[in-house]
Amino acid sequence: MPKRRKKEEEEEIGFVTTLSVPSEGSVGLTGSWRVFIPVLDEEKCNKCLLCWIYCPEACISKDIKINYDYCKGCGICAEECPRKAVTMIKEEKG
Amino acid sequence: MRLVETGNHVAAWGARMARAEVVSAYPITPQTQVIEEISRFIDEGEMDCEYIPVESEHSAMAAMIGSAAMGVRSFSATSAHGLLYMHELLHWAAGIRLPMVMVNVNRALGPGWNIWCDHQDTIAARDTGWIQLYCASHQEILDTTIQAYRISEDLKVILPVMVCYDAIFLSHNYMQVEIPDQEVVDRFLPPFRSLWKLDLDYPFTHGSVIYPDDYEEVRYSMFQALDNSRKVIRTAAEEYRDIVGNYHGDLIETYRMEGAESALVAMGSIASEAKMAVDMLRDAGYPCGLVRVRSYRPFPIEELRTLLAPLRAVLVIDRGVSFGMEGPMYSEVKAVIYGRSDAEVYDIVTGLGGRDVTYELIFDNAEAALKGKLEQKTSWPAVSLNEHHRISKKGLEEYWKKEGVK
Repeated sequence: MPKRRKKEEEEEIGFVTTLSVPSEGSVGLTGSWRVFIPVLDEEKCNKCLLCWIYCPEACISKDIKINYDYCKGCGICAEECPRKAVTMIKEEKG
Repeated sequence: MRLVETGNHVAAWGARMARAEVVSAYPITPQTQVIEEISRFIDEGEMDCEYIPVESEHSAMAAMIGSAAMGVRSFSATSAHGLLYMHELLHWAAGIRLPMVMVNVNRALGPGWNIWCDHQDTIAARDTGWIQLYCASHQEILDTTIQAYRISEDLKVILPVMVCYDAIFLSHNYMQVEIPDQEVVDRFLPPFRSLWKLDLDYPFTHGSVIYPDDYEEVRYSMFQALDNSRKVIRTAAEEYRDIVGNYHGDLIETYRMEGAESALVAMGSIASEAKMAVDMLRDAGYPCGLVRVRSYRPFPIEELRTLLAPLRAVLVIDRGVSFGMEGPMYSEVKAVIYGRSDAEVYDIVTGLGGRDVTYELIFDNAEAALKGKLEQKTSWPAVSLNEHHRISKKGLEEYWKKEGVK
């Protein structure tokens, strides 16, 4: 419980608004939300970059590296991959 | 320049003198003339402004939010159901702190369908975070619309302002208005300098998701900005008087409060009628005055407390109602003098749906209150069943008879 604020502690907080500037990880490591993890089979991949285009979280780089810190495991990359090079696997968490 | 014009055309002149750059609005009776006149100004090259015709009031406010977020001085106009339709967007405009001005012509809410005056529409938008200023004359509509931009864009405030005036009584009646020179208004109201504008090279999100840890500070900041606006409204009114020459009060306007032992409290055009009631009461030996609430949000807490707390009796005139409670301004007037006053506080709810409120009715109720013949609660002095009610009731009774309903 936050402690009750004394009257003299009331402060002029000025202009506070909900304007947010895009920045990496401003709400923490969203990769922890993941249930299924995308795994890339580099031998099947022909670097067509469809996964890079479709990833809604911009978690796949142009050299096809998946950023597991922020990948939420939505599976869109696996769905879009024409060569079935991405597989979604249930992630075991400790 | 002196004009004889409708209140609506005068509001259009207000937007023009304030050099509004974007107008986004949807026509609704009794506001339509405002945007018709603005369209004419733009068409005839008298106003350098972009008019966005939209498909609804919801879109009108959404477009205003867009233009204000681009750092452009924005204006809109609506009324009653239009205001209700954009209600969600009112919260968005205030919540992301965008300066803009909108006039609202105070009209009753349906059903029953009614295009005449009462304050229910803007009272229902009371807690959106908008500043609400209520006018009592045509000249005040013009002057307040110009002042509203100064208030809205002040760095201590940065909130949207709603300029409210009564349907028909002010919107459609013709009155004489003094239009100041543009150079004079420009001296009072400098060009809008936005704190930010949407920028492709520096992207950001307005009104993004925020978590419980962050939300309260945003609301508290709005709360403080409304508090700050009291001083800004006062300063704007005073500077306007110095530069342009007109003055209609700041958060309140008073009439014959010198030596008053009782007072009427009212808002909008009823307050003009109440001045005549005050004269009558004074003539009848009751030292009574009038306080017109010009700024409903922020509510004039200190001003009303100072003026009303020492009095014997206060009669509030509400042109709206909080169902299941009482007249909305009645609650608030009692709240500001709570614990600091022995004044008896009375309330009449009247003038709904454009019903005429005469100074005789105000006089009679004030006198009844002063003689102890009125209860200290909300009363509806003008309610009485007439021929129309009886015919409609008879029709229903005949239907019940046919259907065998007992």
